[in-house]
Amino acid sequence: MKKTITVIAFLLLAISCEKDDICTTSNADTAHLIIRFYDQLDQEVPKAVTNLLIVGVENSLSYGIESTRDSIAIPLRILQNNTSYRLIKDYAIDDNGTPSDASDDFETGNEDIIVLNYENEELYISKACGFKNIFNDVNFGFTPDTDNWILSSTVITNKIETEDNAHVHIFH
Amino acid sequence: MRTYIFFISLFLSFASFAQEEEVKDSSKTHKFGLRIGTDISKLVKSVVIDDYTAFEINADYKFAKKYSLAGEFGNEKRTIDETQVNFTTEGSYFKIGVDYNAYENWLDMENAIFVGLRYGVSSYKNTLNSHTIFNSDSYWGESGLKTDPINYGNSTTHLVELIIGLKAEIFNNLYLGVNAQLKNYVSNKNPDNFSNLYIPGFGKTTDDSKWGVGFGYTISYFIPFYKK
Repeated sequence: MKKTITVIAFLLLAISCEKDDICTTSNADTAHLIIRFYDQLDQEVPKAVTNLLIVGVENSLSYGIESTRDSIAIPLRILQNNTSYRLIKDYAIDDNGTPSDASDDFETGNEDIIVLNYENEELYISKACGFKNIFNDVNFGFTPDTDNWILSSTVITNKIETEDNAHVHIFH
Repeated sequence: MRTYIFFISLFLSFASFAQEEEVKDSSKTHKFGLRIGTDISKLVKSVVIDDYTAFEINADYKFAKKYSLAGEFGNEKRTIDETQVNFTTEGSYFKIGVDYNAYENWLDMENAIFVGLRYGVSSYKNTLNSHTIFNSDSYWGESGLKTDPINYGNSTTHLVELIIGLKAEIFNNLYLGVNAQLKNYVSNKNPDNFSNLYIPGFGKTTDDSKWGVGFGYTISYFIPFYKK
């Protein structure tokens, strides 16, 4: 009898249900940098950049091409205090007159380099989501060259925490 | 055998609670004294589960026919590995309150079907062993896993607990018990930039609820002081 009670007691011990926590909090993910493009002449008017190729500096992969929308969302490095991107306007591949031969193809377009400096901070969200990275004291600039397509820029917020609004405006 | 009768009469007593209110014989003798024991489930879990060590001493002192002053004191250390965080919580707690024994004992037995209330204080420390930065865009190929431990300061939680259970005498003055607890914390100060995800004496916390449940399996010894 005593044994039976003991067995029942320990069976009860094994039966314990637990709710899984699933990360559903909005804005729990580390935010992308959101850049919105505007017309330099009429700075209230958004203006898409034609055939914009986005490539991270020190990254062998391209992030993609944006040709219709007037804003881009690009990731910043969370283990470094800076991130740079090559933004190539009017990107195209010139086949050098030999469409069948890819070896002599070259890329054309106007490349500008943007540079961001910032401080990383880890922000606790919840058990299920863990931490996200937020970027503080954000500094934005672009490298001048002889033929910049970026004419000016404005930093809207120097703290990148959510993706609700653009962080930087670029005028061209 | 006495235990067997006790468990059967348990169901009968639930079925006839209304009638039970009627006057029972008052000539029956009561033993008054201190029952002291430990939660064996915590000992078993300490052995079976890695990353968990716990110990609890519980006691109740019968000061009236149906009422006991009751309390628990314990220590817990628990490491939990969640998807995004791996942390260790270590600390102590005490709970104090009153148990009401709803069971009518035969002769001078001290079996109990009890309902109790507790007020508890838990004091503990959190260590974040590792965590992952939630960064779903893998373009930069960075691992968001951080393995440098972070020590947070002391945390304190105050809680209230409703406890129901039974204690049955299996040998002379030796009792085996089962209980279930429903708990709610009344104040809980989270550390800076983290949460108290596990609270000694309370258990795991969830993001959206202040409630917790627990089960205990106790073995205890009754030290009679006097009969009346």
